[in-house]
Amino acid sequence: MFKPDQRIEFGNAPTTLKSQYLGDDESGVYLAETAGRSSFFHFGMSAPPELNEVRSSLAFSVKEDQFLVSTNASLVPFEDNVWRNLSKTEMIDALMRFVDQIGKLHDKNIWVHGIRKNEIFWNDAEKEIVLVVYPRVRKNLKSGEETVWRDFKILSVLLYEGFQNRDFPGGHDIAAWLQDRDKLIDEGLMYPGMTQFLAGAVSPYGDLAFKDWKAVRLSLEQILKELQDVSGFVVGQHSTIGNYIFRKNNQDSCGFIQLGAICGSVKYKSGFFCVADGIGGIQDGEKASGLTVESACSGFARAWADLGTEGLAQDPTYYARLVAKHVGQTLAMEGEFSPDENRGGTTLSGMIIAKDRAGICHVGDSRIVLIRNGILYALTSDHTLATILEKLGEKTAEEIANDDLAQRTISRFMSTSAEVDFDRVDDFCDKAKNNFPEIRDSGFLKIRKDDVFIFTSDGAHGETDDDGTLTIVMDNLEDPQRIAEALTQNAVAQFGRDNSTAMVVLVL
Amino acid sequence: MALSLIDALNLIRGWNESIDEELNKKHALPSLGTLVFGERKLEIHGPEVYLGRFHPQQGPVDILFTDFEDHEIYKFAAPHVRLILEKKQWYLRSKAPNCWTSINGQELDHTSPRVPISTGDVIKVGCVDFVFHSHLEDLELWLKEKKAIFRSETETSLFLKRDGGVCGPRFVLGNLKEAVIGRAFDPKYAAKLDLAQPDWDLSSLKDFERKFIGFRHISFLRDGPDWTVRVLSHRQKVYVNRRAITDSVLLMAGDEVALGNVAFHFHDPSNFEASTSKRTSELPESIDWAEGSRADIAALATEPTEMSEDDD
Repeated sequence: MFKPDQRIEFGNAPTTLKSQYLGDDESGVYLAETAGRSSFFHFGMSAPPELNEVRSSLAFSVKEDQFLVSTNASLVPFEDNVWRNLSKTEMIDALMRFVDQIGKLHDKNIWVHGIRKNEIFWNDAEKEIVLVVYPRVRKNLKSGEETVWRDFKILSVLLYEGFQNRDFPGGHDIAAWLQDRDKLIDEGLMYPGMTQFLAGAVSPYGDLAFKDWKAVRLSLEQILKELQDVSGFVVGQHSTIGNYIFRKNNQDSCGFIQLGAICGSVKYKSGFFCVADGIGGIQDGEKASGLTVESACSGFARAWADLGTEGLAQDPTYYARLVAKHVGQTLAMEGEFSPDENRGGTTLSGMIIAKDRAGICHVGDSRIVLIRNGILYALTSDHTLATILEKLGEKTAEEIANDDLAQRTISRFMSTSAEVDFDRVDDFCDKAKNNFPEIRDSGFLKIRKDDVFIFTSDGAHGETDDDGTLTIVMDNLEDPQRIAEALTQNAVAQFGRDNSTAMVVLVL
Repeated sequence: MALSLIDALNLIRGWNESIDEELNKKHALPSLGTLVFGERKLEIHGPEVYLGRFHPQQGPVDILFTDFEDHEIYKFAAPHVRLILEKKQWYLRSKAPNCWTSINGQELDHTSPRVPISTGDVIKVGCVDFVFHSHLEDLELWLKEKKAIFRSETETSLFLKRDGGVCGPRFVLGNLKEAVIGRAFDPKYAAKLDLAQPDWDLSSLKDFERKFIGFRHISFLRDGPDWTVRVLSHRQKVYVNRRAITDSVLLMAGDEVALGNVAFHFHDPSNFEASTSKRTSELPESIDWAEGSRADIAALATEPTEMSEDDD
């Protein structure tokens, strides 16, 4: 019989059984501690050696009739609350990887013969479901719709509960509702792809039943496509010379290009958005920023024409930075071949959005910020003397904040005399990389519905602080054009010394 | 997989830059010294080198401090220090007024005499600490390889210099009447302005090198045995022996011609000795913008002893 703190032999690792997790007698699953980490042991049932291959990354190994399921401390018993708080994309992604786990067994003609919620665990670090015990596992069963259904019916439970945020009513009820259009509407089960999936998952036989694990996965992929699609953007933009008596023209420019295509149920939306703040003589600064926006948009369009949205989505930050590099070369050519008209320079802050991914390029002191769920996140860091002084630590934060010259002196810009080095075109700032781990992992930001991106020249953001920007955005949330106008008008109201430009992109 | 940098850029700009792998081959000469900063190394391939930032007004430096953070670059002068190898001893001179230089904590300014340096010395340049490593054991090999490079070319040529020494790539002027050097540009300008692409396309140089090279930067013109260099670029600087030129200059064997911060050695095999033994020209002294300022006068007042020692 099990005794608390009973030590068992397992390879060279001293292991202590802590409590019985599943089962009534000695056979079952025990929570144990191996080398200071939680683990689970399963006694009393032989596991096919092929199971070893399923989760090798989790130190899954077999010894006679015992097998260690996992030494991964981040594995926790499955909790409804945790599951229901995930995003829909995370849920589908986890379900797809779960199907892959089971699919590997099915390919070896191993059938789990039904999975219950208390037999799965949640790995929060990897955001994945892990099957930890196989009490009914069978080899060499005759495969067929019923065996497939038996192993995957848990998915209908998880999908329903995750999407609807309520308990699964039972397969019979779902099967009945699927035949009643009004009931489906009442229950809110009209989510594209979900009704089709539920029909397959609750049908053991017949045309609707899933034939194999690959059909289950395809059905989930369809739901994911629906989720991942950004259906479009609404853009507002406004720019003004301002009312400062020494500003004779507007040297700011901004622009965007949106491209879209629908292939089957996949909507390919992509776009390039940028702001540029010219510097130099009266005409030269305006020309530099205008040329920058034009050549950036046309460069993006050429990349899209060849690579398509899928190609750009592979690395939107890389392509955004290359667009900036191309702009730098264009400015240098204009500077060389029409030197009398092109002696200026400009900032450039731009963003490529491809599918649900965004990448940025940034040179100078224009800014891109993201507003998500009422919080403002900086995506760029100013290239100014103030930033340099801050890093050098030679002045206090207060001294730097009051040093107007340092705030307004830019340390990097796109020049008509020397094209910018690729290495000196920045992407996301460190703060953004800390706030959004996916940027560190994959180099791009995953955008979400209702995200608001704000592109501003220093004439706009220099006349307010983050709280002021946030207030203006939240007061006009549904209308990007009104946000853009409010941001620039705010600068005019402050009698700002600079041209003021804002472009606002709302993700639909 | 995303496209390679050059393929993606060609796609985005809508016209192609070709790749000249020759321009980025390993340096042909051994290193005579190394400055180590963390995991990064700056190799010194010549016995007389300027190091620092490039400022067009001041002239080219041999080793450009690139790939540093903005605040580190801010503290580099153009140029910042000069390293000289003389009689098997390395020396350092600070060239930067008002910018920090020290060796093992001993501060130097632009008026300080040169200081001998050895392997393991910590050289502070601006806010970056470099550890110096001397490779004098390779000096004989360096001299031998340098001669071999020049001997391998029997026609009048331009040799690319990097980090203080000829590094291998060359352009043969030979019997050409004229040769334009620069980098490839959008064919639409060629058509619109009726301009030919350069004869030596330097597009494949590293970004920090090519950024100061004009698309049609200079022209080499032959008149009998004489070669003259003429400035074509309206924006980028040309230096002969580190002095900026604005029109045409007759070249002598061994002259150094720099396009922006990229230097070339003018090699005339008919005058081999002059072509291979000329010393690197010195840059003009940096202007001390603080000289005569109140802060400067105050500093003088507090350090009379040091100044009087220098004056002696």
